[in-house]
Amino acid sequence: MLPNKGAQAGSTEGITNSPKATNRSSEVISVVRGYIARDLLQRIDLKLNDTVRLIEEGFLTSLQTVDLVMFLQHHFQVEIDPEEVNEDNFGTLASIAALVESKLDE
Amino acid sequence: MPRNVFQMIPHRLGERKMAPNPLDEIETSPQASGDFSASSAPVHGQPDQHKVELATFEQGLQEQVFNLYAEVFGAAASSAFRARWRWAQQENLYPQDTYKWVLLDRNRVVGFLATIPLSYSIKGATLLAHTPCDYMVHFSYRFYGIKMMREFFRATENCVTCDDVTATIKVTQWLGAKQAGMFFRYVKILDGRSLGLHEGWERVPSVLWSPVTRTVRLVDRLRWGVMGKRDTVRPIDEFDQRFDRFYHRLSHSVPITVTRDVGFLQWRYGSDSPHAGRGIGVVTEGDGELIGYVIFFLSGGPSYIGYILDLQVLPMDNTEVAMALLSYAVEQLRRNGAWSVRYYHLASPFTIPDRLLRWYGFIRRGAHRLMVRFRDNQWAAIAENQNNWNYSYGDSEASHASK
Repeated sequence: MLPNKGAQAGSTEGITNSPKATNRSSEVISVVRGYIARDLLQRIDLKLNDTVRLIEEGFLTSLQTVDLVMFLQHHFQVEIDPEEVNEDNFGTLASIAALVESKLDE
Repeated sequence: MPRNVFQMIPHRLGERKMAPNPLDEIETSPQASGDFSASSAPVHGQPDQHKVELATFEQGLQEQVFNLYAEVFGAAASSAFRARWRWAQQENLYPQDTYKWVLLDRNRVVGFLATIPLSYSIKGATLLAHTPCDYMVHFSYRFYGIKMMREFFRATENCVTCDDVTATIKVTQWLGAKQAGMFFRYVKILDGRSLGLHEGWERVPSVLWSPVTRTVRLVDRLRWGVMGKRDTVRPIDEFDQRFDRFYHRLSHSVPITVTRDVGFLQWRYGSDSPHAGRGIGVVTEGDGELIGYVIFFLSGGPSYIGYILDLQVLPMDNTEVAMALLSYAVEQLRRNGAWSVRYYHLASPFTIPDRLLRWYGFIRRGAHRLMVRFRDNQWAAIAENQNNWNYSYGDSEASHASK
């Protein structure tokens, strides 16, 4: 797991397409996938792939999205502005991971 | 009032609980299968995420909004919503400041959020603050409720909302509102039949409730043999200029309050309001000036709930007059057939002490949270302190749905 922003920022700076960045992306997705299935939906059997449409399929309501944002902020030590909570950034696990990674790289 | 801000749905106090809150968490995923390892193909009837847009409400969308309300809350609630629309949205005190938004999937209305602008007096200054109201989102579009609430907080300077829905409160807090205080609901049983409405008690034979009713009435008489004073309260039919003078004194006694002048009272409890059938009781001084008033309302069946919508006294620690007004309202509601009475209470130096409510047989049952967001730090500091507030159930959007 990615414990915090500080631990990751130095290791991935400027190499977003490197294997390390890919590994980090996979790890972020894994964390988010686990949180949505286990904590938000309470369905540990749920298998979400990276591109399943979380909004269209009804996995994220307003409340669940706010819970997810709070989790991301706490877990990854990043700040997510309400303006960034939109269908582009929260549409799929991959897009959420991209948002988190962009924050970790800041 | 969902929410409330969110329910901001006739989320709100009491009856609003009867309707589903679009912000409530779904208990299960809408998908029956647990396997989403395969990429999903577009599904007919589901939202196209890039087509759901926020727009300002236009009159031509009104019928669609009514239909959405019926779909989300049911036909009966929609009728009440339709009946109060003109009063709440077009002929309120600040129609030019009454913002309304819709969510559109192409041309279809899938979400709606309105506002109630009210004037507040804060340390002598007068500010406008908005309350979100009649929030609703079609079940399939619940993610997009955030768009409307974000716009609400962006468009308004100040916000006051009173809600009991966890989802509403959480989203509101996330968008910047702070909890100002707990707005407790106190209930007093007048008729044993009201107990029979509770889950698990339906099978108790109704004949057994009569002794409960008689006992409560007897105990209330004994209580008032001790307290007295109830006969100092006089009924009146309309709000007159004395209420303006009373409010002028009130606003100098309390740090923050709704501007409850005669204009507000005539609109809020006027002939077009949901509470046109309200009763008013007043206590006056020798010169006829008000030293207190109470406004109350009886809902229809099957629960016959009486509501204390507003109760004010001056000076504000005059608990003898406050209890006389409360007792008067309870008695009037009892005579008119109320099975129970609800009094919502934000504890502060300007309200009846909790111990007196309990002594009079009121039991605390649930609470709402008063949430505020004032852009100016000076006003925010005052508004975020429960001890500064004078707030009544009738001030809340939630009360609009109490019928």
